[in-house]
Amino acid sequence: MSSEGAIFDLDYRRYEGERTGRSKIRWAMVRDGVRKVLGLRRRARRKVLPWGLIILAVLPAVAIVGFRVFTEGLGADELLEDLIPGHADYFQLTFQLTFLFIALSAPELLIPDRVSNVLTVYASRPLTLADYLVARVGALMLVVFAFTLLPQVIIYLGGAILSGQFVDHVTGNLDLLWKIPSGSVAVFATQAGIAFIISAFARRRGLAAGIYIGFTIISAGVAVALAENVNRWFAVINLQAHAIVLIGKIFNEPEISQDTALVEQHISPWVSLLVVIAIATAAAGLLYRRYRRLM
Amino acid sequence: MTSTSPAFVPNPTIEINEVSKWFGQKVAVSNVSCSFGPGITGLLGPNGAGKTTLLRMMAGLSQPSRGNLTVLDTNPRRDVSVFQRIGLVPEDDAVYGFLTGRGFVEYGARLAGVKDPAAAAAHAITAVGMDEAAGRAIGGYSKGMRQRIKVAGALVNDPEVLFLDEPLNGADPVQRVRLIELFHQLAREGRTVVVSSHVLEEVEKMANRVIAMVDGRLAAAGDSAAIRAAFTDIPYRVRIDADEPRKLGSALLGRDVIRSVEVIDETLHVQTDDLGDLGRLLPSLAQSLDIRLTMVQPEDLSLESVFRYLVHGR
Repeated sequence: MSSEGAIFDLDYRRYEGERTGRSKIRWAMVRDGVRKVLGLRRRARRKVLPWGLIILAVLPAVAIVGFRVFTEGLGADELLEDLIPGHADYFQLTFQLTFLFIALSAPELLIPDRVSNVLTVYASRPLTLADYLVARVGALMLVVFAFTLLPQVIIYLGGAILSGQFVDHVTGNLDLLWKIPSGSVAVFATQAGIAFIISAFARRRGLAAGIYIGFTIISAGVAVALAENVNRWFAVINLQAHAIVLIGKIFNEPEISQDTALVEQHISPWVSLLVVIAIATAAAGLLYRRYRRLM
Repeated sequence: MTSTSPAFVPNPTIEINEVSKWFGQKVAVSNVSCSFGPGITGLLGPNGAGKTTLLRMMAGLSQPSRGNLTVLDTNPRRDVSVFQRIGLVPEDDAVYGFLTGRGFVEYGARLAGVKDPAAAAAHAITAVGMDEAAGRAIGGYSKGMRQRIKVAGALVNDPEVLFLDEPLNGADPVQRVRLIELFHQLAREGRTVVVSSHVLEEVEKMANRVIAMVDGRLAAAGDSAAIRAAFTDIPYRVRIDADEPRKLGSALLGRDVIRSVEVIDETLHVQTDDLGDLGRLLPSLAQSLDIRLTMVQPEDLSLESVFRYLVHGR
């Protein structure tokens, strides 16, 4: 054994590695947002609601494909085509789940940062205010897209495989490759704006989710009552109906929206498009204005 | 104020030029000009003096209402890339309670563009002595541990300029010593460290230069002894322990250098305009009177005394 001794410096050793660009920094924020929304690296009870809603959204798609496998060869294909929901129907089927998912997730993304004063941490890093907001909204958009796209992909690929003519099925339904993502955009753009605005001001997550859910339900009822009794244009207050109308338009299946006040009052789908764009633009402006004061 | 004023340093990393900040009718910072360079500078002031507002402007968290301010030759409100070279320990908790200490520091490293966040976080966590607790959720940390993990979060991007707002809040005595030594080391490495604190004793241990603010304005700059010397209208107070204090006091009374003499609990307290003259006079006088001096100590050279004069004028 050597008789020599040494004292090692245990003090601060500076980081001398490389640094990444701003795109990587933004991506780090998006990943953080996705983790928050899905409750990753959190206690189990934080995962129950998001994952429960995702499972509920995906389960019918799996059941549809399974049902088609089970009934294959029974000679009732045409009857089944009418019974089994298509892509537009599926958006409608999972619409309320997406609504709940957004209602719970938008507050999770914005409120803890503000209430815990963590905005200071972001403000003292090489990020602009726009980077912060885009990353937060982008995180929810990414998860909502996955939420809405996954079951659609299951139905799409399941249909292609079960048709026995995979390539023909895929090439014959290429339009779905833009229609399905467009449907997801319509769902997200209609609902997330209001949820983010409420979350930008509320101090409690549960309260923000409650206000958003209450606002949406009450505005839908008020829209129908006022449209029937005062003026048909009050139907545009029913925000959720715009997404359904747009999905019907995108998939060329207007029947899925025939029960909405918008269709009943003969309001054009183009109005719905304008309303959705207006909501998204106003929400972006309000969010920016609000956070410019905070960061 | 000229660039030869103690408010300015050669080779500054932070330059503040006629900066004001107001919130509605309230003026928080009024026409402040000064600069900061490598080493530790204490930013002092009573509550409401504007030091946190000034620190926030320097750290790029807030825009001056008037004037201009640069950090590393960059306006941090215009070019956020400078934040890769800045670290901030805010006074607020500013942590996610659900994250582990390591997770928080690593996330800070990612946000700062550090390519190997795990390695950088490990270094920073070791530096603040938090290795053992780094795997636990921050929600279960004590106030002092939160403070240290915030310091680690500020160090993780290897900043050239470090802003510390009340950095020792809640830290235990051992950790205070360790953190102060860490800040000294960072300063020795040539970094600019700006410490805002209301605990004067801590600032005195940390900072070799002080910027003092009162009512939003720059009240004084320099080291505490130099600032004290600038109060030419306020005499120095000196405590003298001697075996015959009353006899010595009587002899001192007749001297020009002495303004007043007090004997409290058999200890002599004198006021003088010139510490140097008193220092030269005392040994010869004591010898001639056959009095033994056991201690001679200026009582108001401390930062606390300087601060009291700045805030209260006496």
